Amino acid sequence: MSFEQLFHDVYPRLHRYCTRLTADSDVAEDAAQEAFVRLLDHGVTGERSRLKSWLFKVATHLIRDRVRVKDNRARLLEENPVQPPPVETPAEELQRSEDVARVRAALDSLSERDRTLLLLREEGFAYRELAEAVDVKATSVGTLLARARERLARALDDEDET
Amino acid sequence: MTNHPDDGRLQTYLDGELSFDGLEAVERHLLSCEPCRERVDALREREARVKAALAQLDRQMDAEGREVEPEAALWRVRQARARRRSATRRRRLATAATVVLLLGAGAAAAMPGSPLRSWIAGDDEPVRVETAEVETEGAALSFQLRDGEGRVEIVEPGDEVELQLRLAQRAEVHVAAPPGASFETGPGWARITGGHRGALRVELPMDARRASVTVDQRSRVELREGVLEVDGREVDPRQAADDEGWISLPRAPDGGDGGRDEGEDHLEQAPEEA
Repeated sequence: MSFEQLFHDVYPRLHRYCTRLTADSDVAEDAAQEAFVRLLDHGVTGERSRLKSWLFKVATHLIRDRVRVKDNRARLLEENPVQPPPVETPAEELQRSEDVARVRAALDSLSERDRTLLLLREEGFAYRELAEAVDVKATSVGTLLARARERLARALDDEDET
Repeated sequence: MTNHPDDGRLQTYLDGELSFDGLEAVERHLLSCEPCRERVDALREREARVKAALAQLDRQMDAEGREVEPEAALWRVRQARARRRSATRRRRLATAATVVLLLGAGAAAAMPGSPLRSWIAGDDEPVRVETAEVETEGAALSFQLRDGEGRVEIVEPGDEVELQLRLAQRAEVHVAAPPGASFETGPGWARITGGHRGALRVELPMDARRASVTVDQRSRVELREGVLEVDGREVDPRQAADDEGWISLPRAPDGGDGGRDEGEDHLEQAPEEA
């Protein structure tokens, strides 16, 4: 697999993962692209799955290291989205803003480990890879995922009530 | 049945991560246990809800009118990489020069095999994406022209790599590299880095609107509408080639105006910034 094939295969999912994690398209784009630059810098080689895990791990660390991500999250919650698409009516825009803010708040209420597990699982990572990403035993991943989903569902319920 | 599987085990079952024995045991249990079947349904329902909720976050990007543009992103990655490599080289050169001045070690640096010499030369780690078979046997690749244009970039070829060129009646560019080389390719271009010993052969389509070969970012070969230039001078392939049509390129450009900056090519062919 060439670098370009790997890029086209992984980048869209890595970008989505980063966007979901940060709620900031610019930060997500920076982190996803920087992960690939580092892949080249470090001359990392191996199986596709290993390279994919490596990229997600590096992007996660990059995002974690950026303090301004938190600021951006807060800003997003305060300001709500900008520039609605022309096809969206004011009512639809309001609904979307509320939906996004509600999920974002629920997700942010989780621990970093729960959040990472849920988002990586959504991108198709196997238990073995998830275990490596959050540094737990592979046999614990099912339990941790079940709890993380339960917590997120409860947090969504709480958001619905407020 | 008293040993009901816990939620973690049922989640593992739903995610298809149980071993064959584990899977069989859970399914056998579920056949006879209504409460556990209901728990599985509840877990499944919760999973669907979580999935739908997370998908809501993607609507933010849609609302901002943002789209994932892999081609533009790939171009930015390559630019960032090129900038970083260039900066690393400059840093190493500057540091090396300082060290040479401080230590008076210019003579040592000029000695073949001196670590200082390779340091000054800026030997970056090779870009290696898929090199295993290349390392042992050498390898070849072909790629299609893009809008009638193609580019071959040769980067840091080994001292014993011989560069050869041939024009061919074919639709794609073909490159065969000696052992130790690594490849990167994209639409209308390929980059070959390194190589231990042997011929690095490039075949360009005769009918290409434009095809070029650069070595360490210096333009060495230009083919435009059937006119071939090597190191800035027009060459008649029938006279310059051997019996098989191969033209050997000298290691270094022998004068001419061949040292154009490769950066222009990148900008010309790269997708526009988002």
